Amino acid sequence: MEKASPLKLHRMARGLTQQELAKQVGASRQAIGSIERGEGNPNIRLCIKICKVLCCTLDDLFYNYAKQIDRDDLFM
Amino acid sequence: MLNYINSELFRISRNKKLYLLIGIVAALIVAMGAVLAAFGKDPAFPYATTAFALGNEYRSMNYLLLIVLVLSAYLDDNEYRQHTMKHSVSFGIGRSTIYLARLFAQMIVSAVIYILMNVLLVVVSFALLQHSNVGELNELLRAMAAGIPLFLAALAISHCFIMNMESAISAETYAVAFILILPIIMNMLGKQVELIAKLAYWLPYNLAAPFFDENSMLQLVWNVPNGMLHCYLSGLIFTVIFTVAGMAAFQKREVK
Repeated sequence: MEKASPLKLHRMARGLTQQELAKQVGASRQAIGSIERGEGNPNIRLCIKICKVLCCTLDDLFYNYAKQIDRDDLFM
Repeated sequence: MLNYINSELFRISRNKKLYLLIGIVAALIVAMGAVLAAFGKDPAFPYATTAFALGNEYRSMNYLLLIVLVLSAYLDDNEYRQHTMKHSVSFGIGRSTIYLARLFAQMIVSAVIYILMNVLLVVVSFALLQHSNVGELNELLRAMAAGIPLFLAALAISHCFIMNMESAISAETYAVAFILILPIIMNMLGKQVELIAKLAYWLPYNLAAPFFDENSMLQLVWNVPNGMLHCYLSGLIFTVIFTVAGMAAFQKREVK
């Protein structure tokens, strides 16, 4: 099973590209990409903006980050 | 000069308190790895990773500057109380030689300890924790490279006060005031006055501290264009300023 970032899965579920999400939260596409790869550390304000756009909670996006999450778990 | 550096290295190598300090730091690093690994057995615990363990190090380089102050006090080993320096002066060794040789010897020992502790951290992390493979080792190496000139500057600042004050506690208080408190105050004032913000940027503590960039992402200064160069420039400037000032003050100081 493919391990993917919850942010990427939620973004794709909303049909948004990295560029579109970045524009809506006032960040760069590179910033969104680095969060999805687990390399970047956003501040709490950006995290909340992302949650609002994707209609999910901080727990949905970040608390479960280390767990094995796959598409089936998220969309079942 | 080389002879004096050798004698300083010999004195430091016989310092049992220094070995105790190194032992405690090494034990804490191993304990951190062991605790994270133990908690990591719970799949819901997300921090038993090399990215977290190494990230704690390279995102906290500013606090490591304070450890340099502790290290500096241990390396000095209360020379003023032991009254050994006056023998060197009476033996005809110049004060500049004494000041510089002690500083160089401390720089060498500090650099070795710094590298050894980081190697231990990497070994413990990769041996006990889940490998994140998000470039954390590369990040640590970059942070280490950028941190060395800043640490040497902190050591030079600390040495300047230690060599010119009889009480190690007073000396360390002044060093902490300059390395930690002044940058924090200047940061606050810099929010109102642009010029102070520009000056505050060049202080070693602020260069070593992480910050949020325009994308609200945590950033380290050595990862932005010219950031590494700024670290080296700041380190060099503060090392030279405090070494020259400390040496000038030490010329006039009564060595008891």
